[in-house]
Amino acid sequence: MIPYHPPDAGSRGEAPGAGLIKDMFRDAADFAYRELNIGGAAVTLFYIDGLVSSQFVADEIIKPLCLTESRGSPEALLSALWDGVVFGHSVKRRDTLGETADDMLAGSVAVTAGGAPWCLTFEAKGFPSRGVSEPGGESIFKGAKDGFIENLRTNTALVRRKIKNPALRFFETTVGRQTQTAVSVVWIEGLTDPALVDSVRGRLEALDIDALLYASQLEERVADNKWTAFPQMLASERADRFAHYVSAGRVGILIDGLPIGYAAPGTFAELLRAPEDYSQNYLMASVVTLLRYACLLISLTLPAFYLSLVCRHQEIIPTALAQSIIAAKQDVPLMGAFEVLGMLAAFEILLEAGMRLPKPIGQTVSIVGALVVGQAAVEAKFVSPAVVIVIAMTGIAGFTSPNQDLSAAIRVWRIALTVLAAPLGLFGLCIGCVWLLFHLTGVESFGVSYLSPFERSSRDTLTRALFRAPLRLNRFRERALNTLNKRNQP
Amino acid sequence: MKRFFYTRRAAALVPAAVFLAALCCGCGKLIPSAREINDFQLITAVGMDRHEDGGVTLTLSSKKGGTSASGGAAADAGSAPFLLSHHAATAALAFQDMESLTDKHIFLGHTRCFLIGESLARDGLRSCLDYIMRDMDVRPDVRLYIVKSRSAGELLAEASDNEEFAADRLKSMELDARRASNTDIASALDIAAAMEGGGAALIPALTLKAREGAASGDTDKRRLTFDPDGFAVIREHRLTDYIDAADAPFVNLLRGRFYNAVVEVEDARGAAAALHISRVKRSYSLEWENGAPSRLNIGVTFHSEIGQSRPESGHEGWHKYAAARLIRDGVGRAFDAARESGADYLGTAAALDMRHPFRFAPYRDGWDDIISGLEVEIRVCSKE
Repeated sequence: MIPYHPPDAGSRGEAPGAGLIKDMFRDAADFAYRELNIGGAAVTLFYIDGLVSSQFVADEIIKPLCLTESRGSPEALLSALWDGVVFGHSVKRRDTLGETADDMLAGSVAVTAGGAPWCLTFEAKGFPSRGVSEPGGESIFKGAKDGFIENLRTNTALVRRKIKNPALRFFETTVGRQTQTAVSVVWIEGLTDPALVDSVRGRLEALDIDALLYASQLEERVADNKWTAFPQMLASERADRFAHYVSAGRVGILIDGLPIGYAAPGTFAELLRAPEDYSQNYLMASVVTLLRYACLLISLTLPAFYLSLVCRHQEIIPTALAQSIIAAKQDVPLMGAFEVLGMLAAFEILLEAGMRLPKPIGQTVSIVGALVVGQAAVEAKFVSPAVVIVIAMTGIAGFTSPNQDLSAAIRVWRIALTVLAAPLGLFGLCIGCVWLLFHLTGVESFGVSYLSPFERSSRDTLTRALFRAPLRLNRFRERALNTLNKRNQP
Repeated sequence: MKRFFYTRRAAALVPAAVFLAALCCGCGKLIPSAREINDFQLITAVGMDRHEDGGVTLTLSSKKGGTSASGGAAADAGSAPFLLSHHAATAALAFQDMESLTDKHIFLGHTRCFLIGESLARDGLRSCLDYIMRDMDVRPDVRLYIVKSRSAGELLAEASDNEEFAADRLKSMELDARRASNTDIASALDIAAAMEGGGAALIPALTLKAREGAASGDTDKRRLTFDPDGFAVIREHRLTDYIDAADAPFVNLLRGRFYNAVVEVEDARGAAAALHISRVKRSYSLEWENGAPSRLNIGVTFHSEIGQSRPESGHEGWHKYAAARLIRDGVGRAFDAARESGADYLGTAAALDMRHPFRFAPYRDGWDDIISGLEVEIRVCSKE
């Protein structure tokens, strides 16, 4: 491991004097301080402009300070502030420069007095933040409209509003040498498996990274299996869905700056659940779930299957269909493998282009790409209409996946299966599918099999994974989660 | 240790990468039997006939054209019928030669039926069956048909002239057979198995006939069409006899392959009425005298209902008597014909073997001789 030498590491343990604080934040344009003379004592307020509320600082800290009388020594003045002279709702005594700086970076105002060897920090957060709004990626018709935002405290409050249980626990830690990102682990005491909680906490505390700014920086490092494309944690922008995971016995993770809540362990079956499943009739939800599995299979295997049939096993295509394919492919000069792989690549390019561009332009690019270029390619006999249909069906089926990370993993495997099917036909496809099954059976998420509940023959397989049983029949929590309280209703 | 693993992983990845690169650069020869579907000429029906010089004439029929002009009757593009004809000493050689007559690969994986001309069938089917069974593209359940009095090529050409696809028409005939029971399905595998066992087999016969309206000159194109016309009796790989179309349903009944039929009978006033006969079952049993079979009982049960008739056509249940009489007469005729031919194509021996497994065993081999002198009783009962 490369030794970590944080800047000013030597001074972090020193007493938080005004000079040292100024020195630590030297050349920082957003660093601000206000020097006051309170009864002969030099009092200085330090804060990061933009992270604190100016109104709060003026009304609740400076004003009471100015009205206070002389206390003799600087320590006595700070003690008076600690005892309640200042109206700040959260005050902390800090003995080191490092702690003081951390508080300031989190939105607090540090108050030093004369040569006192300690200081006080008053929480005065006031940085700009967007309001709670409906998540764009997981909107549902019948359900709550509040989604997570980039503010951790708002997110924990949203969860607390959903789970009004005093046993709901939030363990907070910071991750990232540079970013010092606050990460909160959420669970319900007495319900969630303590081993699972310890595992999540342990992994987070062991994280030694520079920055935690993006989702994958946590996902990849915390996950058990590093060599898989499949997501190993459940992610949601919805507070109600996150609360559902936590109340089911999973451990949640909230990250400051990310409007996403993670839940562990993540299983394949749960990734195929959509928020609508619990807000509509169980029969409809079951049918849609089955449809999702079918679409997943189509999305994964259709190009490989088509290629196998067209290039290797022409005899098993129904005659009428074979004749249609021949007619469609009559003047196309490219090999079937090139056609399919090329179209898959074109599809990925369109997706990527659509994502990189602003939304209205992205949609235009998708439409132009799919319709105009596709139609032109067919008319120019670059590709056969059959391949266009196959790739379009594959793409549309892939979009039914409720989890975009799962969808991305399927896209990776789809290409692998197609490459295998090109030379080996259905044998290649079978080899690929067996390989995928082997791979998935080997994946674990926080000690829970990724294929749970499929990995064992249990009632859960039917009631939780393939179908959505009536809620009154789901009296027990998921077995794989090993919750302390097994029942969720009488 | 780490380096060892990295090295091993790299060693495993290099051949995989080379293999994939070879595939991606279109190195088709590295791929075993790489074939694109548009390189194929899908053949849906094959006609086999005896050529004048003693060889075999093959006629291939399909939907799509795409052959060179030298390949015989190459069709226009689109979905026009494709017809290709060639002859050689054997069927295998003819197929081999045909590959050079088209710019596509002749593919028999989609062939639904083999039509065999009467002359070839009379000479012997062994070589044709052998070819069908050994060709790895041809499905073993491919249907066989005998073209009565004409050549298979002629039938396919007529169908082609009528812009009709023989394979589609025969498929539709197969479905019709479930309603009329006037023909049946004979797969190459079944026939080959029956021939191997030294038994007899039935292959549906087809006949070319004038299409209605052609005689009046409505159209020049639609002159002939083909229809099912009973069965061809195959014994020792040769066509020995035909069963008339009228007897075909009763032959099917005795073979246990009767599904449904609509027959016309006369009611008490002499007016025509249509009966729907269904749920037919037949049974064979033997009566024994001094340990030897003395009489063969054929039992038939059926269900009939009036399809169309005038009201008050007769007494209650008259249609059952009419149907029973019809079945009794037809079964008698069909059974007598089978006895006279000396070929057990009705499968009586197999059925009796099931019914009397121990007592019948000694008579199994000489059954064709025994049955010719055996008294037969036919009992026909209507189900309520």
